Amino acid sequence: MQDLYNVYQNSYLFVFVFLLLGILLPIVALTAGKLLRPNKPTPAKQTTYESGIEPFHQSWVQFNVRYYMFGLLFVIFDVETVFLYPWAVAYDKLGIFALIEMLIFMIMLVIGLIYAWKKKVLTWI
Amino acid sequence: MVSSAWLIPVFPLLSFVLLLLFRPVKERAAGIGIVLSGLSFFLAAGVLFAQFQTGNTLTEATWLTIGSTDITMGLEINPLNALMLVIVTLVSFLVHIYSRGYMAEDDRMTMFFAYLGLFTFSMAGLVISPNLLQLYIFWELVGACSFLLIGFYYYKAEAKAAAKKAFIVTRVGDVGLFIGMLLLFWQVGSFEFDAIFSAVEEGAVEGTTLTLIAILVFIGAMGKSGQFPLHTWLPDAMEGPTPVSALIHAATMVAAGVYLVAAMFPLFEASPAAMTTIAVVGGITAIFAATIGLVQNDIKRVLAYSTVSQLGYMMLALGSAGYVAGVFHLMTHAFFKALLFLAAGSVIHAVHTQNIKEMGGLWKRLNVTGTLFLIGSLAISGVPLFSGFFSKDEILLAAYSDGRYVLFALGIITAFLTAFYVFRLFFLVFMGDQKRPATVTKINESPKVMLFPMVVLGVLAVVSGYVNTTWFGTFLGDWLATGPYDVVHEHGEGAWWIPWLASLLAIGGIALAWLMYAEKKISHDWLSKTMPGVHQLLFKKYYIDEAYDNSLVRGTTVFSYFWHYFDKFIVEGIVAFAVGAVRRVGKAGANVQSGQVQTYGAVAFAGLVAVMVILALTGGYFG
Amino acid sequence: MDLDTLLSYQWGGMLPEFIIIITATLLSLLDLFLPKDKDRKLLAWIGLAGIVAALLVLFTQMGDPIVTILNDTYRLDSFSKAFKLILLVGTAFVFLLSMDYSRHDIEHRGEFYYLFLTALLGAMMMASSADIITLFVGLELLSISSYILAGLKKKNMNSNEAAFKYVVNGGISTAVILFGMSYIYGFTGETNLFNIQAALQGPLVAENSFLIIFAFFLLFIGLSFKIATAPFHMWAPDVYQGAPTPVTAFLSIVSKTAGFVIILRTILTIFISAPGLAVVHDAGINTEPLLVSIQPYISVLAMLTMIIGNAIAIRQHNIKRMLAYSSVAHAGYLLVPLASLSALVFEATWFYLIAYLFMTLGAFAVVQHVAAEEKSEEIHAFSGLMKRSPLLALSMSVFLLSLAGIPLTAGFVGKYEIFMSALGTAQQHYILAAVMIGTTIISYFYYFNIMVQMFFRPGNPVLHKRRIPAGVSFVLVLCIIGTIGFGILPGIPLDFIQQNFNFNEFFAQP
Repeated sequence: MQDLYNVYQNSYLFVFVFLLLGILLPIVALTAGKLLRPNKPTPAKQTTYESGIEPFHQSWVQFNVRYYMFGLLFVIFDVETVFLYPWAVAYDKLGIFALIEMLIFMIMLVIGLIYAWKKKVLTWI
Repeated sequence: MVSSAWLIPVFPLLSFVLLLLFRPVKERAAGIGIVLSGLSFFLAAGVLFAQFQTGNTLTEATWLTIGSTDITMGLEINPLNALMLVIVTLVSFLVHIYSRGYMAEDDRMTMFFAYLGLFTFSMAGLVISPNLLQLYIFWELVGACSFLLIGFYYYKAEAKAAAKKAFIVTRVGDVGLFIGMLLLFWQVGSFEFDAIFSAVEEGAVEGTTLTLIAILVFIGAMGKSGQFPLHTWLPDAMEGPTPVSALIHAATMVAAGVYLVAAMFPLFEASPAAMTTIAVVGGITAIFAATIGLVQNDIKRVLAYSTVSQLGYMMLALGSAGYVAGVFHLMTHAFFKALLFLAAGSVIHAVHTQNIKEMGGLWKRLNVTGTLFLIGSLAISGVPLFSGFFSKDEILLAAYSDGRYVLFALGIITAFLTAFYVFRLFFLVFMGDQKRPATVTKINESPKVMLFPMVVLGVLAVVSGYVNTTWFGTFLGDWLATGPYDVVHEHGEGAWWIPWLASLLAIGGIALAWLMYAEKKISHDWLSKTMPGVHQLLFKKYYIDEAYDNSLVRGTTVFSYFWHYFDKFIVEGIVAFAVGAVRRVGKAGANVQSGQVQTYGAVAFAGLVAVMVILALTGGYFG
Repeated sequence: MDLDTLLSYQWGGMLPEFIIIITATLLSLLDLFLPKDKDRKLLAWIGLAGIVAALLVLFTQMGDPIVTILNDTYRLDSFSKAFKLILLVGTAFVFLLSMDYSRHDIEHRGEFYYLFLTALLGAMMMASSADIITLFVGLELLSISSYILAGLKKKNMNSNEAAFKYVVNGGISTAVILFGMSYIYGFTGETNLFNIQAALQGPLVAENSFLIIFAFFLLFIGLSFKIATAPFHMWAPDVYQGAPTPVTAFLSIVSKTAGFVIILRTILTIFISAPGLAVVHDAGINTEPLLVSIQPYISVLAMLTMIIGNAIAIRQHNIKRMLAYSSVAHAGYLLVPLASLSALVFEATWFYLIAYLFMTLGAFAVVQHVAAEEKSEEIHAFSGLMKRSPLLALSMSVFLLSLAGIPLTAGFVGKYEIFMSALGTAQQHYILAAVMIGTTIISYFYYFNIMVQMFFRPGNPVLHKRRIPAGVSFVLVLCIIGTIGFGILPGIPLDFIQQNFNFNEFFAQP
């Protein structure tokens, strides 16, 4: 129990170290860069994309809500694949129970797909 | 007969259900109500006579089991219950008949009779309860009926306000009763009266706790019976129809508080402090309400303050160990006060106003009503040979023999004031020049259907006193003493002068009223011809009464205004403060409820943090 | 896990859940393939049939010994059966109400019906889980379904607002709950409730009892969102007001019951033997049990809830908003048995929830009908109801009297039992009981205000006179029978609990 507790506390130490690194790294890098580089600004250098197209109007434009619909559906089936891969790899070890579970999972997703289909999410009007 | 006693509350309930479901037309509704309440009364009378033979009975069944305790429901017939049943059903029956005439022009007569049925059911259920919980349930029910009936003329703003006030003020008392009941349950482990009394007798309940319980229960009784300072609802309750005032706010429901104290008498008796509280509250209420009654101009309001005052009398009796006196006065008061209200209703029916300044000389037009009102007035004033004389006498004796001389003096003064204000009412309404509101063209005597119940009550207001007198035997007292528990029944001895003093004061009060309100308007011939002796006596006291007028009466007037304002500003001020506090919490809460979802999250988080910080501070984690 | 182990489980124990999930799936498919103009009432009847079937199966399970399936994650004991009964009956009533709910407001009738079923499924899973993970999944299934239900009046701004606020507040509460659960898992490395209970008795835990209490409060306050008690009550009025009336009824009954189920289940299983604060005696330092340490805090939260709910309810003009605050107040009453740690905690909570089900559903049924007639949910809509429709007014009075706790109604018996539980423990909770009484008195004001409107106010002209629909009247009749019947004869349900449910099973280790 005591060991477990030490492990538990040690893992927070890791988090803390990473946090520290995450904060220090950009600060050190940027400060070092600022100290070392020469500073000669010209108007061309200060544009957003120095060698690209000139930016035009606001980046806040309305997207069609259907993009999100597609995005959501994509994520759902993406997640399905993420689940299916490890299961397929370890199929021999997991046995019949996992097969049943996977079938239920897929049937649920298929119902979801039918729902999306019938609600005309898949057609672009 | 006793075994079918459970039918007594069932008949009125049946009336309520029938009227509600089938909504018969007016006359038929009245018929159903009258017949069923009549059945109930005859059964109650039968049970009363059967009780003489069979003695006390108790029937019970288990209602509810929580943990290991059984809670029962049932019915008990003992002298007190049987007497109350007869009073309740009789007055209810008579009021049913009376309402047939009084409410004849009201469209909602069916509803009215339905509510009357529900009330009679609840009240009968209350008085047969063998345990405190059942009593409490019916106690709440009668309160709800009273609420419905006070607000019966819902289109009047005053009636609505009065209904609300009545309900809420009596609830304050009910909370006391509820807490007392629960405390008692934890001490005794039962709601049964028998179990409670035997536990009290064995001393199972510790002294201060016992006093606390007794006072809490008494607070419940104070709310229902309009004892100071919880009396404020009762005069307002006069906004209800007059038959309701007679039934609920004079004869039965308001007497429930007195009944409660009587029914739990052994509990109170075990705590001298509680007894003193009851006696003092009763005495103060009696004189306080009587003084206010002196300056009111609404006929029903005068009677309402008189009811408060008389209920205070009963409490004074019970608090002075005068069990029989209290119950006796409860009975006689039920009859004569119901009579007075019904007669007042008859007057209102004729002249369509309640302001006594707009009435006068009605005796000629309403001689039956007038006679009956006179009988009622004589009875309440305690004039010898009328019922009120005997019962009031018992109370004064009880207070005197208990050694409560100050309260005794208050009682005596109240007796005088009572006679005065009741007869002030009588003289202003029935004597003097004929007056009537401009809108009323013709004054007619009420129909027979209204007069009959009044005649019955008039007879009872005279004879009901004779069941317990020093001359013909103390039948009522002996019988009440056969109750399930021992009650002290001693007829106070050695104070032979009390009845004389009481009668003298009553007559003095009447005389004073006569001199002040009738003398200048009525020729001396009339009174001197009919009652020459009395006239002569009063005439000689004329100058003394002038002095009375200057000192005593004016003094009392000031006193009564004082109480009136005390009532208005202090008592209602405390109530307003409590209400205001709740309002303020509500307002503050509603302000935080801004509709902004981030506020909601912030409140939840702040709550969480607050709990944590308090825990850390009190839990000893940070120092 | 091989097939034999799989088949060795008593799957029959999960039959009610299976029925509900199959019905829900069926409804969603039917809704997709039925022609658009076809009346969706058929779906409601199928859904109702599914609930009734699940109820029947549940009745056959009464008295069976404890069933545990799937490595003890699923657990069917008396506790879960008793509360599933409330959940199923409540949802069946909500279905009856929803059939008659305005077709104009809700276009997607199919979703309306089967989302109730998925929410019910989540609630039932919560009732019979013995594992933090399945509990959480059940909780989320219930929550997410309810979020959508609250916003089903798509074209109504209030309904949209309700759904949005519900989601945001729900999200906060979920985060808090998960934070608390993560502490518990971090301490014990277990997700099974009984294993956690055992692990929390170790000496290491005793040294760090503050963290355990911290986890307890995170969990408790997070879960208080579901039952709408302080400090997580603020969403309730807005959501109750905006959501369609049957959904409001569902939230205030089924969702609240599920909230109490999960609170009782987690708190009384996980923390029953956990160490709490250190107490300094003459003899030395002792640690008292955690459940004793946290008593004052839960009591204070319960009192705050009662006071806030009742005091603010007085100021409301919208009947659904008022009922929302009243439901907050009732949740406060329901916390009393838990705060006082009475032996009657299960009986008292169960009975009160049953009584609450009848009186609240009845009240919402009347509200739904009156709102449909008057096209208004303001309290004014009730004025003169006694004239217009006496039976409706009288039934509403019965429900209001019961909510106010007037004798001869189920609400009185329920309150009375809670009262007994507050005063019946060794350490009597006078303040808690006193606040309960005081706030009950405050509640008379707003309940009677409605009665005054119904009885003593001149009526509005009848705008849209409708017959009382069959579903609503059925619910009304059952609720009146329940409210008055259980008030006059409380022995029936109380005997029923004692005969069929042995709540000691709750603590039995698998």
